[in-house]
Amino acid sequence: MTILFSGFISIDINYLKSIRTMTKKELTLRNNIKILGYGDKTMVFAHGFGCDQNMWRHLVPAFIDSYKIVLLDHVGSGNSDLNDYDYDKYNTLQGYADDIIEICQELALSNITFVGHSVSTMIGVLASIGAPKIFDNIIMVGPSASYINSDDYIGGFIKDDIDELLSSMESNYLGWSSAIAPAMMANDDRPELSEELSNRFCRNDPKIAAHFAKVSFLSDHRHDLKDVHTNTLVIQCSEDVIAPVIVGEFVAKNIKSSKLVIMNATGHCPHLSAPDETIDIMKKYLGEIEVPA
Amino acid sequence: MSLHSELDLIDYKALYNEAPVGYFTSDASGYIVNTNNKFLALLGLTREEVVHKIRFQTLLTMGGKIYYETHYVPLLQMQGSVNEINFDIVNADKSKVPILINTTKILSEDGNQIYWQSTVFDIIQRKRYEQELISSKKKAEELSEELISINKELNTQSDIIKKQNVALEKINLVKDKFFIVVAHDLRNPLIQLHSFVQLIERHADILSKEQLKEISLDLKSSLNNTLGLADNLIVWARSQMKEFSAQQSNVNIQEIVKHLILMNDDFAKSKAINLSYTFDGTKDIVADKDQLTFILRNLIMNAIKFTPKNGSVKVDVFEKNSETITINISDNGIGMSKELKESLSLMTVKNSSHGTMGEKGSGLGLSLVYEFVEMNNGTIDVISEKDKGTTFSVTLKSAEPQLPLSP
Repeated sequence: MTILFSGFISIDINYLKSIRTMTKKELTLRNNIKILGYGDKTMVFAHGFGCDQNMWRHLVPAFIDSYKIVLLDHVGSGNSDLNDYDYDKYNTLQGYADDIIEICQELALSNITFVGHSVSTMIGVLASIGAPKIFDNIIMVGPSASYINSDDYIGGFIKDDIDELLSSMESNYLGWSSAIAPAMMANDDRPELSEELSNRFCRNDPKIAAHFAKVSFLSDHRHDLKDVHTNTLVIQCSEDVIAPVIVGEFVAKNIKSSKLVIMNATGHCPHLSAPDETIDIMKKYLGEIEVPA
Repeated sequence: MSLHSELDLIDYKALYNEAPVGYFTSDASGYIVNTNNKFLALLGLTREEVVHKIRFQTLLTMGGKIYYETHYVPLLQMQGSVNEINFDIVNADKSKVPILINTTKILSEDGNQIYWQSTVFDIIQRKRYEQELISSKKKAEELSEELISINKELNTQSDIIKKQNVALEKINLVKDKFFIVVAHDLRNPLIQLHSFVQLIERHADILSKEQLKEISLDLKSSLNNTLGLADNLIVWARSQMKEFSAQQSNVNIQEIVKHLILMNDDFAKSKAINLSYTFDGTKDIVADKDQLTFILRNLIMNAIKFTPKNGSVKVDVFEKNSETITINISDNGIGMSKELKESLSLMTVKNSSHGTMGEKGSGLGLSLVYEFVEMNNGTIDVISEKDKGTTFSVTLKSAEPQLPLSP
C-alpha cells in the first residue's frame, strides 16, 4: 500500500510541475544557472554531450566585460537537478531547446548570442526556430546536424559505433557512484573536497548519460537547418573525429545567413584546447556583424 | 654500499623501455613522440611505425574515439590529468585489447610546449572478470524487475480477491435475508394449518358439512401456495448451484397455457376472479419447456394473488412478428409502485409482498422468472399502474412452422 501511495504522490507532483511554469529560482536550480558580468548584451553558453558548463572556463573571461554571461548545465548533466530528468521530455533535443527558451523568457533575456558546443548547436537551432526573436546570433562550435552516415550523407559514424560508445561509457563511470552523487550536488564552494570529486566535470549519472548519448548521436536535424533565420557562425576544427569538416560545411551551407571558419586547431573541443584562436574568431565575427559594412 | 649509490646504478632508460607497463608521450594534437617496448608490443607495431606517425586516438574503436573527444580530452584540459580510463585499443592484428590509461600534463623544458605523459596497463583478465560482474549485475537487475512485476501481479490478484470477497459477503447477506423471508413465509401457512386443525379438533361436533368444506377449501388454497413456494425454493436452489441450462425445444404454448389455467381455476374461483385466455396464431415457441411453464405459472399465480375479488386475469398469446411470440398476462389488480417496478429486473430476492387476501410470496418466483426469460434469450416487460392493474409481457422466439408431410 505504501508503494502504491507514494506512486500516486509522485504522479501528482509531476502533474503539478507540468501545468505551471517554473519560477526563476526553480529554473536556476534545475539548470544550475550561473550569471556573470554586467554587459548590455547577453551571451548564453550551452555545453555539449559529455561534460558541463566548466568547458567554457577559458572563454568566459574574454567576454565578461562586454557581455552578461549565462552559463547552464543541461538537465541530467553537471550540477543540474537530476530529479528533473524526464526520459520522455529529453527523448529528443526539443526538450532541451524548450528549456533554453523557458530560461530566456523567465530571465527576460533577449538579443542573445547563443554559443553552443557539439549537440548544443542543434539545441540552439531548435530554440531559435521556436523563438527567433530571442536570438541575435548563434555561434556553433563543432556542429553536426546528423552523426550517422546515410546513402547521400556523411555524418562520420554508423549506428554500431554508438553502441560501442555506450559500452565505453559503461566501463568508465569516471568515479560516479551513487554514494558520491549527493556530494556532487552541493560542493562547488568546497575545494577541500576536490580530491574526492576528481573527474566531476564529466561525471554524470550513468543511466542518464547513456540516454543523452543515444538521443544526441541518433538525432537528425538536417531538415531543420533551412528554418534558421538567425545569423550563425560555424566554428570548425581542421580535424575533428566527431564533427568532420564535411559535416561542418553541410551545416554552414544549409543555414541561410551563416559563416564558416575552419580553425588551425584540431579535436572536438577547441574552446579548451585552443581558447585564444576560438576567442579571436568569435570576436572578429561579433565585431563584423555589429558594425555594418 | 649506500642506498644512494645503489640508485645510481639504475639504468633509467632501460627501466623506461623494459618496464612491465606501457609508457608513451604525446604532443598537443595526440601524436606519440616517445614510447616503450611494452606499449609497442601491445600494439604489435615497431617504433618506426609509431613515433611521430600515429596519434593515440586513432588506435581506438569508433565508440572509444567519441569517448576520447567528449570525456577524456576535456577532463585532461580542465584537470591536467586523468586516471583509470578504460579504452579498447585496436592493435596490428585488428584485435581489441582493453587497457587502462593514466595521463598527466607535462611541459617542455622551455615551458612553451604541452605534452601528455601516459601509462597504459593491459587489463585483459580484469576486463573479462569485470564483464562477468556486469552481466551478473544485469541478470540481477532483470530478476529484480521480474520480481517487481510478479509482485505487482500478486497485488492485482489480491485486489481482485478482496473485491470478490466483498461481493461474496454481499451475496451471503442477501441469502441470509432471503432465508429469513422464506422461513417466515413457510411458517405462516403452517400456523394457519395448525389453527384449522385446532378448530376442527375443538368444534368437530358443531361444524356443519358445508362449514367443513369451506374450511377445507381455504386449507387447500393455503397448502397450494405453500407447495408453490416449496417448488420455487427447489428450483431456485438448483439455479444457485448453476445446475440450470435451457434445454430448448419446440413447445406448444397453447397446451401449456390451457393446463395452467386449469390448474389455477380453484384458486381464481376462491376469489371470484374471471380467468380467461386468447390465442392468435398457431406457432410453437422455442424454449425450455419446464422453464417456460415455471415462468407462466408464477406470472399467472401472481396475477391472481394481486387482484381483488371479482377482478379479472387474462392471458393473451399472439405472434408479435414473424419471429417472436408474446404472452401477455394482465390483471386489473392492485398494481405496483414505481419503486417496486424498477426493482423487478434487478433479480434479487426481495421482501415478500402480500396478496389481496394475505397470500404470501417470497419474491423468489419473480426473480427466477427474469432469470429464465434471459436464459431463453427472451425479453420481459412490465406495465403497471397502482390500483389499475399490471401486465407482464414475455416475448420469446417462435419456431419455424412444421411443414406438412407430403402425401
